[in-house]
Amino acid sequence: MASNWDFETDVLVIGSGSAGLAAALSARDRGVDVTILERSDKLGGTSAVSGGLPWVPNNHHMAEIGASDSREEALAYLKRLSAGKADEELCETYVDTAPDVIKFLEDRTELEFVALDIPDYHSELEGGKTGRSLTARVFPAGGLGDLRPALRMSPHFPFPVSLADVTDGKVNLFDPQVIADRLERDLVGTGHALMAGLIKAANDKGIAFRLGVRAKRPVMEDGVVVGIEVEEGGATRRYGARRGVIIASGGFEWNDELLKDFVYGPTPAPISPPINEGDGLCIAIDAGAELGNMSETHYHASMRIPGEEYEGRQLNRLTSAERHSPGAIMVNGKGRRFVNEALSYHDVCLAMRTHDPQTFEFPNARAFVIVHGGYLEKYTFLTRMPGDPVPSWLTSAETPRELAAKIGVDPDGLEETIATFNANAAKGVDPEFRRGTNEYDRYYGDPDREGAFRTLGPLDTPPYYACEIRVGTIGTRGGPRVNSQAQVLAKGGGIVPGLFAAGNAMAAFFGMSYPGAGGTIGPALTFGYIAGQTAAGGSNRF
Amino acid sequence: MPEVKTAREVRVSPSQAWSFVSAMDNWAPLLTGYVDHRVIDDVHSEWTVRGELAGLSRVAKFAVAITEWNEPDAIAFRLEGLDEPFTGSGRFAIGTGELPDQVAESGEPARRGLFARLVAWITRFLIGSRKPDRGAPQAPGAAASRLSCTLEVLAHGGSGPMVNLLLPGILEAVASDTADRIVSALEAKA
Ligand SMILES: Cc1cc2nc3c(=O)[nH]c(=O)nc-3n(C[C@H](O)[C@H](O)[C@H](O)COP(=O)(O)OP(=O)(O)OC[C@H]3O[C@@H](n4cnc5c(N)ncnc54)[C@H](O)[C@@H]3O)c2cc1C
Repeated sequence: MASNWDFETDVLVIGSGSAGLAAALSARDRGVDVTILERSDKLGGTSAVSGGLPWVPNNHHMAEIGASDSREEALAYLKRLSAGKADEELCETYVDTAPDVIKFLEDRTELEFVALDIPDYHSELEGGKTGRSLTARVFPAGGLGDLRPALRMSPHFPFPVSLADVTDGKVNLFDPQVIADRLERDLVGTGHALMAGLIKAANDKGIAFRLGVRAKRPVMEDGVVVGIEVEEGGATRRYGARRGVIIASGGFEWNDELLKDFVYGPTPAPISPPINEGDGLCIAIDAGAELGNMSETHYHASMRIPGEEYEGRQLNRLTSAERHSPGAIMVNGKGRRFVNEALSYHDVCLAMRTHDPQTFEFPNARAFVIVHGGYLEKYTFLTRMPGDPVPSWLTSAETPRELAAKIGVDPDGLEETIATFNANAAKGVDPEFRRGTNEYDRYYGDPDREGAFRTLGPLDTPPYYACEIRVGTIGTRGGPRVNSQAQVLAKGGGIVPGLFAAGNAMAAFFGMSYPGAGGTIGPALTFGYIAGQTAAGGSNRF
Repeated sequence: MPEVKTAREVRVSPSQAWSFVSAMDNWAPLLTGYVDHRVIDDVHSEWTVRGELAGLSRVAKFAVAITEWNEPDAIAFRLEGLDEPFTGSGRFAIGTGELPDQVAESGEPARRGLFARLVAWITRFLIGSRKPDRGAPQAPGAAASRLSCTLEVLAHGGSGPMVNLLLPGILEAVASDTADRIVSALEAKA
């Protein structure tokens, strides 16, 4: 068997995001030695900068908010959304295991989860529900001790707030004193809370973290993965893994070549930190893995503030109020609406990726959010809050025609679009795209308004403003295919012994769909957990 | 209003310190995050800086107007955000003698109340429990001038109250690093 290792462990986990930490914790729970490799100098990955919500059907917290669920309903919902592309066996594994993973995490870490009243993104379809999205409560990050400075911080969610606070309704989150007190106590929210809780538990249980170590190639013997060749401090080293290597290194959204080769349509702008370049995918390919779901990503319509960078790269921001609030629409280059703007961030991008074979263009890929003065008085727009001066990155004009000319959009189209939208919105209807008819459309709209008016409202107060919106991604989701034990499947059939995958690094099993808030972290935690369990239970290879 | 004060001993004469500080072009590039500046007239200038917090950096443009010009020992100015809603003011003073105790000992900004606690938090957030590296202590008696700088900035608008929570940490880093660079540049010239 292979020798000359620079380092040995039982289970080697590549990546310190939610998939990696869940894998490490479940492997460690079975008494084996676990080491996590992290290429950057920060722990937590995209998971730490995220909202931190896992989507977990049939979870035990649903009852606390008066919701109910069943295995059958969850599977019916996933099947309905799959467009025939879901892996039904893995969907079953997921629905059957995910609730136990949440219980496991609550038992083995200090995390507390709460069910949210966010509807599934298609709660109107068969099996759709409210209550499957969970959040962790705020977490005291100071408990990380020496690892505290290494916790990756989010450019998207800088304040210590959990959506559980909103559900609880006990604290006024707009009170600076509340936030200041939380900052002082070093509480963290959103993805920081999830990852701080997981990292603290891992650290307490003796799981080793090795930062600045980039996994590059599998070390194989007789077709078995027994270790990983890494880059560390400018040198190549060999890390041996007696029981298995778990790829949890995120997607390949920061690798332009892989995106160009595999992902159909306009290249999506990555919203994740610039750390996921598909190294895990390359390792899996080297090891002979079968790939799946390569053309799909978790899309998120995104916008940019010029000059804003995260770790030296342009920051792409999430969008929500800018699409859901009354007085906001999205138009393409013809000045025409092309989608129900209040659909989920993922589904909006599916419309932005539509191809017109007649013109051989992606006519909606270059799109703009258009709002009016009344919008800015009441709602946030990216980092601009009501009352702030209008920033220079919003193009403004007194009339829709002038605005269209400034942003290079057809003026007749924009004028007509706004006139038609306004006439309908005043009546609370959207005959073209049925915006406002679903529970989810209204969820992120204006809570002071009723029914479809939560998201529908005319653009009738000059000036008018525009900001470009583009196809973005919070992570790719193609990679090595796995079985229900998270073992990587081999090209020619069977498995690649010793190799496991979880999170965005593995082939997602939902196909092209994004079922609800938490639709990536839920599976990442679940398949991470399964991978850790299987790897730890395997035989000792050297 | 979030405010930082920082002071440094510098081994040059007060008149050398004044001639350096009074010419903006000398020290502008030493400002943390400096991108560019444009002198409009004797009193007015426009600045672009890149501010950073925990990996996120953002460009801010602001206008500066000189409000006090007391040769040879003080310059005060007012600043106002051009794209973002903030206002503020600052002062450079050149003196002789000992640094005020608190500042001389710790090299850290004056801290009060809520903001003091926030500075502590932000410092931990940015650099963990390490103390910032202030360089080697200077030999007693070597200093010939004392350069002090006060900077206060207040964010307004809807996002103001929250941004003000993050400002002290940013200001501390800016004031302290800039002061260190000015001292090095001054002493190198002397
Ligand atoms: C702003 C934002 C908000 C989001 N909100 C949510 C949400 O609320 N719910 C949800 O479900 N999803 C959300 N997502 C998506 C979600 O964060 C990701 O899909 C998920 O975190 C992926 O988890 P992961 O463990 O697979 O990868 P990651 O969390 O990205 O972790 C991968 C880690 O592997 C490391 N790595 C990469 N290559 C190597 C290598 N060669 N060697 C060693 N280490 C390596 C990376 O540095 C990284 O730390 C959000 C995303 C963003 C950007």
